[in-house]
Amino acid sequence: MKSDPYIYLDYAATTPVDEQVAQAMAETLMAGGAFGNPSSNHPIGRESLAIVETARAQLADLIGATPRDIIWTSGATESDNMAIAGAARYRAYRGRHLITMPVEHKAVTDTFEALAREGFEVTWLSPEADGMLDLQQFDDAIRDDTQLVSIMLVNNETGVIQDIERIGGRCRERGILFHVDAAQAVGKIPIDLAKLPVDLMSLTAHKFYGPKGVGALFVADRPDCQLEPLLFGGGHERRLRPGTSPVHQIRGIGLAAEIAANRMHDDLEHISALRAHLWSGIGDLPGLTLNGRPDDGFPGILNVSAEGVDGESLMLALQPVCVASGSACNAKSGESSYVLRALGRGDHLAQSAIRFSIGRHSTVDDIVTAIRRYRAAVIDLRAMAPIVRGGSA
Amino acid sequence: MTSAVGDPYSPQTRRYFENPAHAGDLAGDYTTSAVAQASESDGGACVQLAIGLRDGKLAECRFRIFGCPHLIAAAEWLCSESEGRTFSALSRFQAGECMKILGIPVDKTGRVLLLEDTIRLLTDKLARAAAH
Repeated sequence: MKSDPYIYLDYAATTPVDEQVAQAMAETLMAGGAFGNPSSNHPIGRESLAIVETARAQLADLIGATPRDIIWTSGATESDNMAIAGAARYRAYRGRHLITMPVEHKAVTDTFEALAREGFEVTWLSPEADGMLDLQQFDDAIRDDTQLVSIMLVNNETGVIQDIERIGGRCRERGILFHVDAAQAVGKIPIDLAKLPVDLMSLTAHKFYGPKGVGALFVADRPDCQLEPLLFGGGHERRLRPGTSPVHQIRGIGLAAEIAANRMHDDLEHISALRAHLWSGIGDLPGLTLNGRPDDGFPGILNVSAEGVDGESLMLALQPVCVASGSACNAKSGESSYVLRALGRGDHLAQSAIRFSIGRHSTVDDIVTAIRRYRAAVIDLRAMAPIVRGGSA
Repeated sequence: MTSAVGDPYSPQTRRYFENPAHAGDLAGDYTTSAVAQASESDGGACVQLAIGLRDGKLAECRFRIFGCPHLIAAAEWLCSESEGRTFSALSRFQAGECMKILGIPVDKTGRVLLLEDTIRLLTDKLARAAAH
């Protein structure tokens, strides 16, 4: 495999497709497989439709939903756009106030910013230093005209898990729609939408060993949970998402969901043990700041800032260990992480952050190498820095 | 030579970054030596250059850096190329030429220009020392 020389600790960015999933997808694509258009009224079409509906049930089972609640999309970005813009526009006649946080994924924040340009009023709730939403601040922000709240479940940079049950409960009491971006959570931690007061939830397959290019939006099948569609062109997916269903992709996400459900307990134990090992191996270095909540955050993510170290140099010095500096989405911009800055980290500390994200295929050897490389890189880069920085002399 | 598609680091940049033999402080005693430091105005990247002259030549050239891999690679290249030459050879350093040789992307020009700033400060220091 081409990536063999590398040690992959960037599972929050994406995961490799499970072998079983890839095989099932390949079979579906080819002649002799269920390659038909699920809308076609002939045996091959009906076989494809059966695959699409089986996958819908598999995914629904994973998150405690009913199959009718699942709308196929191209991934979490589309789901976030569809949920937020769709709900805000549908309910605009009732009110135009929306609530979210600045630590959300860009797919969420950019959508809210677009809505603000359309005339919606957005309240951005600052997180506490550990990344959590202050519920009192949230209560204070709710108004009579508030129509939608969007808060992510697991933060993609820090692994912080928000108290979705309590936030959703407050929304439900006030008749406000509640959207959750769960891209980093689905298939990794238990989610039971039969019990959680969530109206809309975004997810994507490639974060849980499924293929890229397919995701879903959970839309609670209730009369008060309606969306304005973003795309037009057919009656597919409850008239919310037209287009010929990508049967092979959907088969992939369905099977990945089933495998995730079966493996979740073991996967969680595995990544928890490896993260603890990683932190025990580097945590004694002076000047480190743990970004997130080590005790009750998502155990697959460890985000650490190092004082006096340039993040880009640290990341290159870590190779062959593949990690993220900030989030994968803004790593190329050269700017420090907007999420970490929202948590109150200064520019330099945010810029020095490394996100290790551990997954199903991570090994103890991977972690041992990561510890060795990280320690050496931090020590060497600090030794190389001027004793006193700044100024010209 | 350019880097692979999507890889911001050329093989040359990687080689100099991974082997910063000239990082640190002057080890020898010199009749003439100077240290200068320049940094970005926002308190970001910071470069320190130290030179030791013997018989009119740069006997030792060392750097300290807080900054990105491109800046570290450029400083290492500068120091390794300069040792054994005269100071005037060092003072002719041009960021653009270095960036071309190391395949440094244009958006890092500001960083590499810090080396030019530092050399200018070294020149001033040596001139002041000579005037005394």
